[in-house]
Amino acid sequence: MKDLVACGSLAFALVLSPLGSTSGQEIQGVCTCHGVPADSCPYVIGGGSEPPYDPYEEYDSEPYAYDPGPEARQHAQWGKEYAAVGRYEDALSEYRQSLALQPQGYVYVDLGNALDVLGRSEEALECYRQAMGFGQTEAWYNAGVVLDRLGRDAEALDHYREAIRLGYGANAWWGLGSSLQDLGRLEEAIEGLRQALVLRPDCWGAYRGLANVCSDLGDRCFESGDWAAAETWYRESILRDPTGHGGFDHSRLGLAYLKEDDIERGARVLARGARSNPSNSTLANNLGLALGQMGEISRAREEFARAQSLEPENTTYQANAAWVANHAYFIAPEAFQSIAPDLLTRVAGYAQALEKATGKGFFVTSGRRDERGQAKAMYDVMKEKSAEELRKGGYTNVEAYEEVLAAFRSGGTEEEAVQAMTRVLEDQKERRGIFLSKHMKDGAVDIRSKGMSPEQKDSLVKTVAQTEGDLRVTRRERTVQTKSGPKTETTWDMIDAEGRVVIQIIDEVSPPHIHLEFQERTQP
Amino acid sequence: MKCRKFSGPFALLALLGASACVSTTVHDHDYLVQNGGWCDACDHGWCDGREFDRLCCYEAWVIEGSPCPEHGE
Repeated sequence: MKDLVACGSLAFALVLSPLGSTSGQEIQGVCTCHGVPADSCPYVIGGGSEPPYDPYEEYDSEPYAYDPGPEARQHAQWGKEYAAVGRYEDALSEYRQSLALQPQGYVYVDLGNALDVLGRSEEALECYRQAMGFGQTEAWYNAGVVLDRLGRDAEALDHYREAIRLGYGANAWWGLGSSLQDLGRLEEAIEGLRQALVLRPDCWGAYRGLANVCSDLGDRCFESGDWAAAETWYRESILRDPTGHGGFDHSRLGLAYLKEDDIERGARVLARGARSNPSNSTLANNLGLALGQMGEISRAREEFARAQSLEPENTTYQANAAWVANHAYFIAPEAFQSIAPDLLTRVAGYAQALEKATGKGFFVTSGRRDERGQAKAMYDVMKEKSAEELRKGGYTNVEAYEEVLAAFRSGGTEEEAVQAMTRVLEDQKERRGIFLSKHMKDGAVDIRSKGMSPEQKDSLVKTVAQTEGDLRVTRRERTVQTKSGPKTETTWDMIDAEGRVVIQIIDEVSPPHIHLEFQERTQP
Repeated sequence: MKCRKFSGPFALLALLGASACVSTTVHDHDYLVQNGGWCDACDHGWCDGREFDRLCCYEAWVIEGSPCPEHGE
């Protein structure tokens, strides 16, 4: 998970200008949230409740609200002046002298603020508690800020709630939203941040907070595999904070598109993120993955090399860079597991020759499927089909298909249906020697065809024929009915000197992919 | 004041969209111009020093770094 820090919970340095501040004003701060300056990070200097927000209000030329008469007030005043110029130890001394003479709530708040700046958070919290006893409402808010930063989110939440109940404004809602986000209560966090923006439309911290929450919601969906929902949230996050999060949202959004097989869009998103965040090694690596799946092997090499140069010790980047250094193709992990090594060596040879000829390689998406893999693949297709489409099937062995269809319709959960279908496929193969799909035999290789031009497909066919020893190639076409209407499916037969078809390459249309079938393995 | 409309199962998103529809009185967009972002209140967005008056064009730029498919901007 990324290291997102909500603005309401950030370390920040007070910037006081001019010297001192008007009592009760929120002080402008600089927070480090995503490396951008905050608009109005937290603190409130003691001595009053939050005034109505006026972004154009200027500092009073006489900013001191205290009557310097009594000695206690004089020490409090000096304390503020020391704090304003960063002499916090001296400020502590003055505040303590003031409190020794005459305990007052606003002085406890100022003492707490100075202690917190010096990193003495627990003592600061104790001062705020003292101030609460005097009815200082901002003490609740300031304590919330400190607790938030200490990661004590539940306590921070309680303090923000109390500050809001006492009439504190936008910043308390912002803090409340941030605490809820840290607690993982993202839906409620939206409400809190929204309320902050209602009270103060240019509360940019809350605006960024909403982007953070969107990003977290994207993470939640991403982790559960709900790619479409993840995409929606990451897009919302980027819209609100396009250069924020160090490219993390672009990286995850791009990956979500890759998961949904929208590889070209994923590559565009990743390239966009990489352009804005050139030092993000994850983006470079993920862009390499996308480009590799598009067959853009040379560009993938560049990105993996960049990822490795940014993070030389990362073993994943090392492995990816090493793979593309030696191969002109990408391969899905399942395919790598299921294709026989000698067959993979031949495929690698085709890819190298193709890259030499065209500058592009290819992506191997699948190989042989075992019975369960075939059952799952069929289940995923069948569940999307209408009753009429299911009846048609499309398999050559109609009887065998109908047996699997009956198992699909047998009811129960997905797992139960897949198990029933698996048993049917096992029975067909073991007892009757029936292989319903070409993919169930060792000799099937699928290559991604999206984005391949007709010329590239021809080059692939030519490359395979030449690599295998100048096989003779014949081409035939047939019309296939698809959801979007009739389409032409092309088959190339590669024939050896004895007139046998040894390899078939089929440009399949539903779903689109190039199917290589090595006949000496698939035909008994 | 214009509010962004959302469809589909994203009830939360609709809630989120409403959040920025707060007021047309705030037009101090210094932050957005400097850091990038979209203002629902006035239907304007900024990113990389560019200004956009259509959400689709802004979205295409910030998410994919490409011209809007519909408007080419």
